[in-house]
Amino acid sequence: MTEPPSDVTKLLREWTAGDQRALDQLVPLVYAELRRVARNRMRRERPGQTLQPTALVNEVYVRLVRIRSIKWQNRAHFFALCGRLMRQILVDAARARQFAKRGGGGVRVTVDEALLPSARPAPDVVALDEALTTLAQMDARKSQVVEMRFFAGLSVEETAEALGVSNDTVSRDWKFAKAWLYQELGVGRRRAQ
Amino acid sequence: MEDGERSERWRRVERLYHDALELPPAERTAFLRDACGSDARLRQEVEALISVAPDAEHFLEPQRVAIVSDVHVTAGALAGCQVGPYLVTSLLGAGGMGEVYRATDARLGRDVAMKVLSVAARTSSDRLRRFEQEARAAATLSHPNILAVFDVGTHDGTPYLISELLEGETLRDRLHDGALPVRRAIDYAVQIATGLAAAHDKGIVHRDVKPENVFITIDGRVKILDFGVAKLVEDHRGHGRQPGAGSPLAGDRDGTTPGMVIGTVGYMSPEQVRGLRVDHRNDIFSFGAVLLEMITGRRAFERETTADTLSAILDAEPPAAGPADAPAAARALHVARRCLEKSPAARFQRRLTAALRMRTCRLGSPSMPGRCRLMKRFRRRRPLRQRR
Repeated sequence: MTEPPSDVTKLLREWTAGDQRALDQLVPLVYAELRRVARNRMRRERPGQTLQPTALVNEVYVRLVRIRSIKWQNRAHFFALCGRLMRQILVDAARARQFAKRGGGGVRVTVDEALLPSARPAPDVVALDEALTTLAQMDARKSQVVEMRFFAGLSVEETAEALGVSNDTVSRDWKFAKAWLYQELGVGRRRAQ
Repeated sequence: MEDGERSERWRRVERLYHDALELPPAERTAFLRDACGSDARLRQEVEALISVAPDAEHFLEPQRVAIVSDVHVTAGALAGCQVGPYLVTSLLGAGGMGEVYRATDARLGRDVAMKVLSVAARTSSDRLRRFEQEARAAATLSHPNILAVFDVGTHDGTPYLISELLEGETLRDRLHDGALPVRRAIDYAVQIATGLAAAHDKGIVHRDVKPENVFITIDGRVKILDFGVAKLVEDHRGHGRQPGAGSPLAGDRDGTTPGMVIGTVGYMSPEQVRGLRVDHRNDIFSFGAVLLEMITGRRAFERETTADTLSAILDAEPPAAGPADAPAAARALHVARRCLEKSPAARFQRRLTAALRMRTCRLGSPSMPGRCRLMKRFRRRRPLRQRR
């Protein structure tokens, strides 16, 4: 394995300690690695298989972070960040796909398409993204809970740790956010694309 | 609406939503009528959310079975059926990958085990191909330490695999109460290594060696199970890829993944964790992890989460023998640690070396009578290879 960029662990620590500039440096590194790992994994998977975001995020974590010298608090932050970036990656891919469908040229997005967590029913990621933005205006924490649970595949316990709240709070947030988003997205009566 | 007002209303909706859902459905309407008073819109808002609550339950929940979603359990449906030449008598066990039945082969008058996969239409041909490939891989391996596969076929579109029927338990069950007596651990280890060596000689890498896949019959014979993710080495030589099944990171950290056993990741080699090409030395690593667990009763790289376990596999030293360990245990641990070297090149190179080292281990400890007798049996079984 190539050595992880030595500063990821350090940046993570600084960001957790409250340094926002560290986050600015961290984002492109983690983003690039998430995409790279996704592509590599897609090449290895059989067609028709779905990748799990959790798996990707874990792999990126293993690759980037010097685990021996990191506290759990930092790790929770790392996963939270991955949730946000996964959302970005998936939404970008979905937009590109829609663009390509409208005759926008040969944009190949199959990799990221396969990245979608398989959920029932499959949500429209672009609409979900917009709904999450609305949700964040009313209740930022619930939006974060959805990012972590859905886009990074974190468990309730891990999400609670990352947000510094109780498991119970995360469970309630998650339950309510799902109902609200379900209604907001009108999943049952989704418009044909 | 002002921001403050809006978020106040949001919080009310949420509180009422949770409170109402805790009540029996029949009482919810009355509760909301009381709680919302004249605010009909508030009541409608909460009621609308409650009405979608059952559907929203699964919304956005990742289907943890994604990787194995092409295989579903058939729920004991075959008991009592005639499947080809086999009369299915009873269900022996079920798991994420399918079910195992006891069946009778009327032609030969013997009892066999029947493993059944139920296949979703979408990927059936693909999965069937892999299933048959597995059967072929196992069928080319005729070895006393490898589960013998007799036949493969399909019944109403459901592929099945016929193998010898074993009585006993898995090594995982055996390890339930902790470490094994050193002598027994070494006996099992030699048998596992011998079976693996036979597979490696045929160019087949198991890729998923772990206590769940090691079966111990009631008379103490070790059988290696489940070449389901095994791969003919030649198959991917030149392609540099392996299929995703058995992929290290597919498992779920809270262990709820159907068809995925928690802890599997603990037996993967560093190269497997990294998604690199694996060869027989991958199995040597997993073997080392199993051996270490038999001796110590603890997993070599057990950590709290999958991510930590994986990073331990990449970075951490496996536990070493302590001063309190018996000499035989210490030697076995030494062998395990050699198998657990991070670099494949640093592990035992010859396919049988691990097994041979085990022998040294046995012979080198005079406090255990009976070991030499066992060893002679081992030597008789594979005379040529040992001289190599």
